[in-house]
Amino acid sequence: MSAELIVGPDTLQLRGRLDAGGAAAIWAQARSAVTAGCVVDASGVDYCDGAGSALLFDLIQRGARVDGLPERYAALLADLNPDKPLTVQSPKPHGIADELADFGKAVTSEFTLTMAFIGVFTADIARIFTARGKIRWRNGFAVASSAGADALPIIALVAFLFGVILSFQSAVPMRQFGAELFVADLVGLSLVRELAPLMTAILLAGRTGAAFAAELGTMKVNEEINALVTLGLDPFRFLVIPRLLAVALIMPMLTVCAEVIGLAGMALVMASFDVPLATSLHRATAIVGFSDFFGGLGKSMVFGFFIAAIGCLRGLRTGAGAAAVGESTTRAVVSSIVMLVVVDGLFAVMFYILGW
Amino acid sequence: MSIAINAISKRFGDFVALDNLQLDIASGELLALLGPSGCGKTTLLRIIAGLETPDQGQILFHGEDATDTHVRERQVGFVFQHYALFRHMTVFENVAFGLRVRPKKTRPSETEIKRKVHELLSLVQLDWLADRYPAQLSGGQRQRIALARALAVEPKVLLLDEPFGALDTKVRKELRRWLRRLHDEMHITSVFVTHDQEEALEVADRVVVMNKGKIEQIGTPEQVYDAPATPFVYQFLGDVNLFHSRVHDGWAEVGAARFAAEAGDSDKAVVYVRPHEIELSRVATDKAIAGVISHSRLLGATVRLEVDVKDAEVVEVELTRERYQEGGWQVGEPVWLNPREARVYPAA
Repeated sequence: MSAELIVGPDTLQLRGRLDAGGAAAIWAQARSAVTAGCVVDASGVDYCDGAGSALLFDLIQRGARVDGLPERYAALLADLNPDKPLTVQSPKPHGIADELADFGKAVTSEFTLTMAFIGVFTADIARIFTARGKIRWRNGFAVASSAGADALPIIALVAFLFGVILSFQSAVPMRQFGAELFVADLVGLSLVRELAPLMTAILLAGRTGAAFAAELGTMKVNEEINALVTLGLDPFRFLVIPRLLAVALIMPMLTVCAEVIGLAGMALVMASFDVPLATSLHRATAIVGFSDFFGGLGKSMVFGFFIAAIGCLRGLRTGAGAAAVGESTTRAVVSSIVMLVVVDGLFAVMFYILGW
Repeated sequence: MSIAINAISKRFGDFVALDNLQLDIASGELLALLGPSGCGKTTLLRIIAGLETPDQGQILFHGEDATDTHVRERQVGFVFQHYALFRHMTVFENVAFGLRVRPKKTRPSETEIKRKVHELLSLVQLDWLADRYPAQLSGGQRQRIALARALAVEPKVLLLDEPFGALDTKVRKELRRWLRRLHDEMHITSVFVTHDQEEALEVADRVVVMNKGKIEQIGTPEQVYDAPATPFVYQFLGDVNLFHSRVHDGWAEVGAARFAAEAGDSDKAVVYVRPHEIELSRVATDKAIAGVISHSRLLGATVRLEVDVKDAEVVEVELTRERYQEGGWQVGEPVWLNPREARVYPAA
């Protein structure tokens, strides 16, 4: 059934289906027949869609009045009211003040959450020292072995490379002054004080920090963390503390390994410059003092602690969905490295003031 | 243990998840929270568990205020929709976990733990899977292990968040029946969340129908199905046809059919009719609605017809297969619809 138009004096009668086909068929005729003030009787319409409403709207625009349109189609026509905007106005573009406010809010909430994390952590650490036996050493050892022993090959490789590159690059110009012997001093000091702790920390941030974030993040997404809580466990004490302690303990050990291997690389290069092994190693050990060595180790312990804390924090604060795990892993690595730079700077200032 | 929920409200930003809820859960009953997604049912369950804190209101466990009690002390067993089993532990270790991590004073001995875990695993009929890892199990098996894990700590309340939501229809039906039997054996106060009305009606002692953070109706499955309190409940508990009409002299009129209405005169009203409560006939009666059959679809034991009716959207009619064949209905044939049952609600 299609649409039908019956033209009478000052009235137009519409019947049938006002769909795209029906409306198009009678549109031209209706347009020419319509006069201002004429009445369109639409009571015979038994279907009307957007095309039909457009026809009726066109007739109204030309001065006609529509009567008797079935109620359920009237709503469609009412939407075509020129006084009523068809599109929802898009929200006002953000001004710089709003942007600043959003940024401020984000920073504040981040700050409060991090502070809360540190607070809970400190309280729990204090509890460990007062009431013993609460900490899960078994978990800690598992973490220590995967974060420490398993990381040794890559750390050894990079440390060796550091030792070789550093000594070779400095040996070539220093040789012109006949000072290649001092390469041992240079490499020894910079490895022990700065490079070994920092390099180990960066590798650990990429390896272990990211792994913690992914591990805890997956647990969070799968509601395993909630399951732990309903079984009466504190996820902080059960998951976070063992990881923090394990990494804080393993970091100095890895750093010592990195130092030894780096120095070995240096000795190898020096040997190729005809400096005997015993001489270069003796120079290096003579120049590195007690404070250099333990300063570096203390620093690496702090680095390890922060890397684990950031990894766990990011993991526990993972949102919903698998994509969120990837996001928190990335954020864990990035914030760990930023943290390393800041903390290392603070250590430099501190050591300078202390005269170490 | 009985639970009382007293004027609980919860918002997430501007979104009102729960709006001043009032609910009493009797000791030992199996209660279903039923509603569409986003209606706040899971939030309510998590508040009962203590995984979320309400903005306002109180939760009483056995008459005692538990609003500020930590999850760890509430002694609830929680079963998650996606099982949340510990992936790096065997099935045995998963179930034993809740007992193993207890402080030394209350921790049972190793033999006691072993006995208890095997007892629970045979209760969920999966004793033979004790040494497998969760990844090696099917969805239905995992969910039963998750239930065993929740029961291991002897919870006072068992909370299940869409426990069968991620399973296929057949397994879901089996587990439903099994859950009901388990509850009849153990009589532990249980609350489960579902969006599947069939599940709620089949398993629960009482059903709480929720919508947009509010409770629409609380009642036994018969009560909510037979006497829905609101149009929402009527619509949510099964398929439904709508007729828009106006009320004249206490009657809502649809075509020639008239339905008793409580609304005032000339108020708009909506008439709800379930598809299986419509009779088809070829003879015009004074109370029938005229229409034309436009589609027929075979759904196993039943046949669903679509009938075009003037002044209404398509009306669905459900017939048993025998009735359909006896009647010899054809697509394109004009028919009269005779609603046996209908409900009239004032239009919103």
